[in-house]
Amino acid sequence: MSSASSPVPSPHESNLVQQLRQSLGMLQVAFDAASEAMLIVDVDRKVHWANQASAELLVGGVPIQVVNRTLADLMEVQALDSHALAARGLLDPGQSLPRSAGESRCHLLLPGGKSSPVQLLRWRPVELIQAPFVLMTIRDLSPEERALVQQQRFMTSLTHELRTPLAIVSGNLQRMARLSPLSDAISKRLTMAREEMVRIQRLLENLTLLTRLEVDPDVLACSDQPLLPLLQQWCHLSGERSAALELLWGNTIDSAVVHIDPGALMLALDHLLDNALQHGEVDKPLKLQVLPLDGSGYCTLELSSCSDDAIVDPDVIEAWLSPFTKGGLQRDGEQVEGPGLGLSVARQLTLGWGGDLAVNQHPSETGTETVVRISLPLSAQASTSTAPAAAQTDPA
Amino acid sequence: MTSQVAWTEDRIRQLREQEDLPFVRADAVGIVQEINARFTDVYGWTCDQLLGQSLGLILPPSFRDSHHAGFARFKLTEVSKVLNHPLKLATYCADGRALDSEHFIVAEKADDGSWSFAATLRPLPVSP
Repeated sequence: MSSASSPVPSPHESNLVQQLRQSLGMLQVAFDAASEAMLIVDVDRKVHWANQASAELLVGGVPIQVVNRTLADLMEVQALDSHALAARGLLDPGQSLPRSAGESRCHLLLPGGKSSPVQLLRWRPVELIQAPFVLMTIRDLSPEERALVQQQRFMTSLTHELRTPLAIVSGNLQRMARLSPLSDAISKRLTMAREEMVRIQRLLENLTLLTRLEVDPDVLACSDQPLLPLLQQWCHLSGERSAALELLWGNTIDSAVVHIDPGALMLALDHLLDNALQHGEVDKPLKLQVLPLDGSGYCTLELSSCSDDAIVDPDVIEAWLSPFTKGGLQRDGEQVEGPGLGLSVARQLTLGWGGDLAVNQHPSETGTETVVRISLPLSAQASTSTAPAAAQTDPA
Repeated sequence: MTSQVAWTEDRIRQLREQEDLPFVRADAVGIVQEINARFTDVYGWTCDQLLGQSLGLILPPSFRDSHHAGFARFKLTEVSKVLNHPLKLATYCADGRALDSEHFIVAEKADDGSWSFAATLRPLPVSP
């Protein structure tokens, strides 16, 4: 053994190194305390950095044992939602690193063939000067999944227990309505009572559906569907409710094939139309428009209605997407107020088929226009055949 | 001296005495203070090249961030999951090759509160 011989750092340099070491240690303590597994992955899909939770999940060891290994060596992703392609692409060094954030509910197949409980896999690009990386986080969803399943069981029991008494009350109200002669006052009250019963029944149906979709968005049966016949069928089934609807779709819809659950699309459009009819003015435009394809792999439907109400804050609009949040309509004995679930159900259905729903408002010549946009994933085949050339060359 | 310190000191001595295995010892900040002849035989590093340098030097470059972070973390917490059990890690040779080795690392706290670290490294057969 011989003595060490390296340049002696100045006191200033030593202090700086000591401070940096302390900062680095603090960061690592914080990241290791996180219950979420975290990984930073480079373009070759090799792990550049990992925290303790990821080491425990993936190798049952320490972070340095995860570093420099390829993701494919550490895990296999079995997606439980419609983001399987993007999630699998994360592990494939033959593909570009994702340029936008995403997430997927999935099981992970770990070394040794062990399957993890349901995890929420999230990814986010980290653009450093030297090279691009992706930050991945993995969160155990099993406690939340159990809570959701309990919630679904509660809703199922509640619906079951309420259905019979509701049917009895509805039947009696119908029988009473057939009695004659009834005074106008009594007849009006009976009508209101029957409408309220319908409202409660719809509320239960919507709550049950919302809970099922939250527990398992894959409850939808998605398949490739030509969009035009679906929209025509929906208009036909909507009857008078869609009479005032102005339908605007260009030529692109002729060939548009979307990957959705047709029943779910019709239900979502029903809810959106109900909302539009309830909150829009009868004498103002009501439009359903299919936007031209933009190469994003999605087809966008836009339902717009107009009212004389003032424009509301974006925060309030965001809140409309939460259950039991209602617009400005008040009960007046003539028009029955909805339970505030329409947008929530429509949004959950949209998420279930892998799309999204957004609401915005803007002033127009005829008042305040409220626009609801829903996106429908194009079928893989249609997506490649109809995408503009510029979009096809986008490496993302 | 606590019984735990006595135990770790004893382990460092035991590690050093296993002359058939490469041995390395570093000070509290991770600077290499000692290697044995077997270490030089297996990994090619000489005392001149390694003593006074960071332990990170014997890890492949891609492992160094994680090593430094773990080391800095230990300085703050004095808790580590890499100590006192075999750990399969890549070891960087003087000629740039990376050899998988089984590291057995122990830590020792001196009376003045400073730590030193020692490890034996058992080269693992190269996978076909």
